[in-house]
Amino acid sequence: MDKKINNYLISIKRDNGKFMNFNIEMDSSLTVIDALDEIRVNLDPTITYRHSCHHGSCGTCACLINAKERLACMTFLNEFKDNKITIEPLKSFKIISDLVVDISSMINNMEGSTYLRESEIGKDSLKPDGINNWQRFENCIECGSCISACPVKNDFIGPSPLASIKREITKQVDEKNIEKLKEKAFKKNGVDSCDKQYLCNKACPTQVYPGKQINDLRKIK
Amino acid sequence: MTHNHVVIIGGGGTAIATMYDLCLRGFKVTLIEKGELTSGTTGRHHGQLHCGARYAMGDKNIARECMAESAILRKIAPNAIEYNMGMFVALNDDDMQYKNNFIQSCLEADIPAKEIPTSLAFEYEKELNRNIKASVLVPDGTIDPWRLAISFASGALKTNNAEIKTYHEVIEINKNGKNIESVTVINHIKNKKEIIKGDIFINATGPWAGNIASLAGIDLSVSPSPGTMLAMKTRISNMVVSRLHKAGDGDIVVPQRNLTIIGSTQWLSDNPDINIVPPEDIDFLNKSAIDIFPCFKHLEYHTAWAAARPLFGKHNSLEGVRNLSRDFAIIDHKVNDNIDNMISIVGGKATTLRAMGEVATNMICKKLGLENKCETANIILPNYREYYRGGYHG
Repeated sequence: MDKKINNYLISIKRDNGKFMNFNIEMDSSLTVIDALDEIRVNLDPTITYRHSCHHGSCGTCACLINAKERLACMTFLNEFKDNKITIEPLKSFKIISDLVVDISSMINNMEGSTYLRESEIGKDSLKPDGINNWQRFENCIECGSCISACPVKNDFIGPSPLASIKREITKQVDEKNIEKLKEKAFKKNGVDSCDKQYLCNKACPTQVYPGKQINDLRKIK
Repeated sequence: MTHNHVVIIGGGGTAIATMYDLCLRGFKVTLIEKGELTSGTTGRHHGQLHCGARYAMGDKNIARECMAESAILRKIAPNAIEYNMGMFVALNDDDMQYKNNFIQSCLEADIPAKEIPTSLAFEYEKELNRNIKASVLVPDGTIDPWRLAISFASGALKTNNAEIKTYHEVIEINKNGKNIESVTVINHIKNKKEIIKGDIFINATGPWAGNIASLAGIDLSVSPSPGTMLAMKTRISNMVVSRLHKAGDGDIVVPQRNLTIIGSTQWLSDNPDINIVPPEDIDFLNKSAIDIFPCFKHLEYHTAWAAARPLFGKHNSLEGVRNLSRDFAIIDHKVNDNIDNMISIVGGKATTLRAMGEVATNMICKKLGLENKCETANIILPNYREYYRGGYHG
């Protein structure tokens, strides 16, 4: 991998609403989360942001990068040809501090008796004793990007909770549980509140396509 | 039940599992983390749930402990683990030489390693290199490190004994004679200094443990030793697949969700806060993965990242650091450092987080003359989403 050092102007929205600018020199193959680490460790220890896995798996680092919902850890610096990057917290969530938002309003609406699903590969293969189905984690990493991007801001539980209802309906075998999930999906703040603009599909970093899941729910109504 | 207030410094898997154990045994706990939970080493783990086979040739006790702990985690945190087992594959004659001792060592460590015909290995994992000479099945799995850790945090919060303060950075440890009375923190959310008092203090800061100990005037030998992980965009196996040879770099492929991850490398670092991936690591890891899964060369690059292992002990050479044990140690600073109410948890691995919490809590109970028993291996953890139930923890 080529090493190319560039100067970047990183503009971060602080919790007082003002932007703070930082000039940093970084290898262009690194990511926005690396840039935030560099700023926090070497320039301003008061900058706060969420991060954990650094490979697009935990969902903690979603924020607005040049006005688009992105995972900071999966946004590479070499994408920004003018070397200017503006970072803001996600929309629609309560801001705790700088880029840190409280995603509990979303998580509390998520469904899922298990976070696992059947793996797509090796479905028909032999399996060792003790393994009934190959399994893997769900696609949705609960980052909040879809909710931030969604134009419907009131009385709507949001794309990812509805997508989770859809997933859970496919996993449940108990009719009563399925009915309960459907009830939740078709409450006033559910499927019918979706404005069908599908910005969630674009914002989702892990191909959940929440808008498609919402459409699938419409069909089962 | 006790009324002792324990302050835990650190917010990684070990700190969180220790908080959970202490809370279950009736302690009031305040956990202080300078960033988000698991924003240091824990979160950046490649995700292997270690059954211990990798350690069986070197250290049977660690291997046995990993086996026991991985089985416990599968039971108590099923939502945070993809359990598809694992395979060690031999690619050359040296690997084959290693095989018999390897299986024997695993069995001696109670790890049910079993050689299977390579034809069966290909049935399980179609993308495996067709030139493998032998394969051994072991009970490995894949962890979601963030969700595993916050499942433990959810368990702690459920007791109503836990208080979690993220974005609180410890800058001073305040002693009175042989006792620590409080820590001074900067609350980065409110941008102000605060004093947090406690009866007992635990340093569970992984590769930062030496830095925190030094605030208390303690010399603690920790070697932050980062390693690179490389992730590609497609999942190509269900099992964790390791090279059947002596532990080394680039010897493990971990599938996770839709990704395939190859780990790892190792270098020395003074500063666990910044871990920049050396570009040559990516080529090396790519090549190592292709040896195991030839199709790896066709996969689209996802990302590469690094995390600092929290090795206990000090060594100036990389070779020396490589030989440092992956075991953990719980250090009572009363013994050598003349501080009555502080312990440090050092070393260890993601898979043994619960055990580290148990041993640390045992030590604290013993210091206080309490006999509260550990229950963490017997209780299914709440769903990780419960962590958010009460809103933000800061």
